[in-house]
Amino acid sequence: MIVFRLAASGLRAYPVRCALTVAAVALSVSLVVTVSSGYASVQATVFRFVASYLGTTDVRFSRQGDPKGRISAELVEELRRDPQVLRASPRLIVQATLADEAGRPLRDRPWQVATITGVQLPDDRDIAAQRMDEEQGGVWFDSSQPDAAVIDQVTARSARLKVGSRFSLPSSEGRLVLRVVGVVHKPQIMATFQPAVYVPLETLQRFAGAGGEVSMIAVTLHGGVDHDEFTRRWRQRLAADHPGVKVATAQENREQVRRNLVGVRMLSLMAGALALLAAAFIIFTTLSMGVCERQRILGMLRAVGARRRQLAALVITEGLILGTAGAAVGIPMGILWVWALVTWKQRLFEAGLVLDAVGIAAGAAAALLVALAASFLPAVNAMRLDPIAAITAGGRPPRLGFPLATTGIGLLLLSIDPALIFLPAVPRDAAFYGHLLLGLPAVLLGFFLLGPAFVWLIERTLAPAVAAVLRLRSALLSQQLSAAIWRASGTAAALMVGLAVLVVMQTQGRSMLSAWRLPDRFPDIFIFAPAGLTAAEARILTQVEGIRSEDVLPIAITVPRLSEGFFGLVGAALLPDATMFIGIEPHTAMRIMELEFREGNAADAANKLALGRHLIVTEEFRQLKGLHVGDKLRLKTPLSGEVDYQIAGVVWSPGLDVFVSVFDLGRQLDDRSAGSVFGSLDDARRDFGVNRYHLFAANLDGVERGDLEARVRRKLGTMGLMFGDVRHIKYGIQRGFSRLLALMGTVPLFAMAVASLGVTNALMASIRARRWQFGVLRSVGATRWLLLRLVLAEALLLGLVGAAMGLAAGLFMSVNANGLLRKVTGFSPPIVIAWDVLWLGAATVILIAIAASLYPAIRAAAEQPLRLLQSGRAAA
Amino acid sequence: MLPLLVENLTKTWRQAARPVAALKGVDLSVSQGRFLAIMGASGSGKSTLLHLMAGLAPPDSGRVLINGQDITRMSDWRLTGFRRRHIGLVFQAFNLVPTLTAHENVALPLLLDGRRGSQVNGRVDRLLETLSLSHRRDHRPDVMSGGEQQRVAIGRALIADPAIVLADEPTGNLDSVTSRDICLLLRRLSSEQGRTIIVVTHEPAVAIHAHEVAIMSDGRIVDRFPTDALDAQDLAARCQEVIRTGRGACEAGA
Repeated sequence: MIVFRLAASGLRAYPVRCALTVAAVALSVSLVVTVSSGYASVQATVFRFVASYLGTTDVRFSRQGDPKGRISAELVEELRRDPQVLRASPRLIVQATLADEAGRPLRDRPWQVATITGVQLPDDRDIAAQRMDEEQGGVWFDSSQPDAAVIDQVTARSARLKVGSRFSLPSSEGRLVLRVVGVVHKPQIMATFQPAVYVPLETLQRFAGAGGEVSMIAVTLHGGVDHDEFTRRWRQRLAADHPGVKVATAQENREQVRRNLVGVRMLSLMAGALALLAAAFIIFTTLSMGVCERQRILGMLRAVGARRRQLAALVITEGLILGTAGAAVGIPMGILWVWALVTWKQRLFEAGLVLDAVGIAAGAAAALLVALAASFLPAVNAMRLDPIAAITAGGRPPRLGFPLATTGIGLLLLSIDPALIFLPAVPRDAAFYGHLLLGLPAVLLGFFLLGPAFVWLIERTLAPAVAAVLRLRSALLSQQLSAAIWRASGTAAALMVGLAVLVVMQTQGRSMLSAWRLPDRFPDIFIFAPAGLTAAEARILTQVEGIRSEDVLPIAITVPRLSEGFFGLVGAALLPDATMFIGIEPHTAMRIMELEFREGNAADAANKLALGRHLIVTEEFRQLKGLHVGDKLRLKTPLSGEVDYQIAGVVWSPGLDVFVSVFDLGRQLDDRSAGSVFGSLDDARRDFGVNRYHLFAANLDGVERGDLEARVRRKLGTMGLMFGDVRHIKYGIQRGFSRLLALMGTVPLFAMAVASLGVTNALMASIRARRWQFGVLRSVGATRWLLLRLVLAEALLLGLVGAAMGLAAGLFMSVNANGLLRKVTGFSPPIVIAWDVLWLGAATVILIAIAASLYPAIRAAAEQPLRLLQSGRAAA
Repeated sequence: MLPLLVENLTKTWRQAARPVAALKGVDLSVSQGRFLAIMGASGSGKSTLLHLMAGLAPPDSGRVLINGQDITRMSDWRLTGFRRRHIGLVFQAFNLVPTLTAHENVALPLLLDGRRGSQVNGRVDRLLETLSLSHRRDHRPDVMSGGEQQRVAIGRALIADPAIVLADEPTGNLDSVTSRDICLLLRRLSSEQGRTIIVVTHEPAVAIHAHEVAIMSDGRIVDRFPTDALDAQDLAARCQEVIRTGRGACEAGA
């Protein structure tokens, strides 16, 4: 009780310092609460859409490994004959760009593709149950209205369509003109990224040439039916009668969506963790300052009978009080922020505010944990206080030599992560988990312990320059930081966190971007057909003037599964157990595209692919699984079961797979894949049932892109075809990635902002300790302006230390991250350092330190000399 | 059993690389209820002797027995508890906890011992009354005078009913009038309550209130005598002589 009393009263003696520390913790906790609850709100909106999409659907039948693939409508009748089935609703899904009644494109954005869904109404009750938009209204159609269509509210707004408007879907045989009878309301986030149009099923089947075929069947079972048993029974039946068709329960679908969103959640929590790390260093600095300034009192306590552990408990209690207060303020602050965000962006957060209880509890627990961790070293220092020295001399004089011991320990800790990552003897699983649980914490702690060394070095090398710039006598600055070395180290460590993360993000991002370079020989143009072209339609392309007929390459895409745990780490599904199968005509592909072979060569590989059941695999397979030319790779195929393919070559990632991913948007929420394999079109058809091609590569013969598009549309109809030349696509990808990097850069900025509170704290403590000195300086004629410059100089030095630590830590972690990436995924690009961003980040850290010092500096400069002398002596 | 017995105590400090012998074999014993003042020039070792008697640092050799218990052989854990219960310490700079009230500062050793409640409160209140500090019970040190703060510190030293009270220059930060009041208080505690008190001081005006004075020079006790027949001037003259010659008229030790 007395320990708590002493801790609480001790904190009350420094209200501003405590307030700043609590503010830092509160900001960090509020970020955790905001991102976790923000994520929960987004997830709720997504799940609301999934729920409306799935509706009462209990089980879903679709094409395995190919969301654009189709299944026979006969299966619908079989299902309807099953006594356990209440309702079986077939749906056909194609993608197309919309055109006006005359066939001109309504939207001029090349990446926006509408999802056209053919449905049987009124039988398909899940669709029929979706409510119409309140503003635009309308009704659902029935089978007596073959030209009716229902669109979503975003499509209606952007295409300027309303109930009664007409629009068309282009096809190779003309266009399908439709009339809007209703505008359905979709969650804003889904409607923005996946515009929806609903038409009668038979109408769409005729339009898409999909007679007797559907994309999926939504099945509702009678009440009381065991879904798992139903699914098991039908899996057996499908394997025999309808190979290539998969069945999944609604629960499995939801689970898949949840798994796909896990990565987003982890990223969002990382932001909060970073801010808490900065707050941890601030708590450490606050407690260290407290121990240093109260040495006499702590010494007295030892003298009158306080045990060492009671002093340690005192410091730890102070830390816990700060952490608890920070959590108590931060949680409601975070809830307020996320409420404001959800209210402001109501259309995005259609499910409203959803508070993440786990995230809130985690934020509170993390605040206490960091407080506990941060109080460890100050508590140890308090325990080790010599009562005589503390009572008589006001404390042990600062050690001003090079901090050998902490530097040695810091370097030792830094060696752990590289050892885990770069030593060949360490297995992949051990390296991954070792890095997370041991290596990364050791790096952070190691750099923290190196803080005194950085302070010592920067002070000795740069303090004279800083003094010269600010027109100060060097002697006034010498040992200013090292006299309270842990205060300076802790503050610099807080500044280090944000900059280090910025360095890692930018370095990794730039490295990834720069590694992705296209080979010298690459197709001139890519053509994307959302609805897919048959082989016959694909041949029409070869007749278009301006396209080299021999250089047209249809590309079949599917996602076969690999054996379970193929790429997996124990307990972590970092890489999925599926890969992207890119079906090509091998000789054409090798002619128009240069692949960088790591094993084998183009000619042999093309010949083997043409034989069938051969693959070219990307480097990940060699790095991670040790597969070489001649080895077998087993793929799970929908039509032929498990098939062993022989490896004909190993290539570096050619960029084609990235291009394919850009166009193959439909797979994003469905199947993720790792690596790529190249096989033949015949294999894609025989084993995977791919008989429509959505992507084509081609070389041109002196024709402009605009002319080419017009010629292709004349031959094939508009059909929603999209064209992209290499430079344009690559530019788009790089721009998107750069924007993502810039967005992620706000996270380290937030951590730096939290750290600025620590700088203010440290400088106020430094001024407090030097009030007597300041009073003497003013008494002998130093101006206020000189005092101001003195404090700014200290802040500048702190910023320099923080920047140096941040750059060093960031570059160190970047090298490790690159190594870990290679060890875990088999691929890592050469490191490219974004020096421009790094220097900008370092400058930001220094500016933040200076800005944070302005208030304490101005306050100190404004004080009367006598007050400085009196309060300085009183403090002594 | 003597409250305090010191046998052949030695202590050497290191200042930079140079060893400094602060105590060179000190013997001392003090009887129950005696008020002893230890005087000497700066650097004579008097503060070091006090600190070793309080168990704040270990000697290089020799023993310190408090109520017959050898504190030089105790572990830190045991010694801390022993100090809390059996030794009262008064410092020159008061060293009160600025954020605690007078009541809490006095109660500190008991609270550190885990004791609380009405027993503690009653005891503290009685002591505050003895020290004429009842009106300052709930006040913090920053609103008290120097004399009041030192009386609070004396209260803190007495609350656990220690075997011995050790005071290091208790009047160093006080004016002459207040110093006298403190000295009279200490004398009264010793005479009326039978407290054994040892004060380290360089001021004859303080030492004259003690029953006896021991003079240290160069790490040894060189003289020890009662103060009955002396006044402050006589005491000062005798001290100067002893310090100048390095020898005393009496032997060290009781």
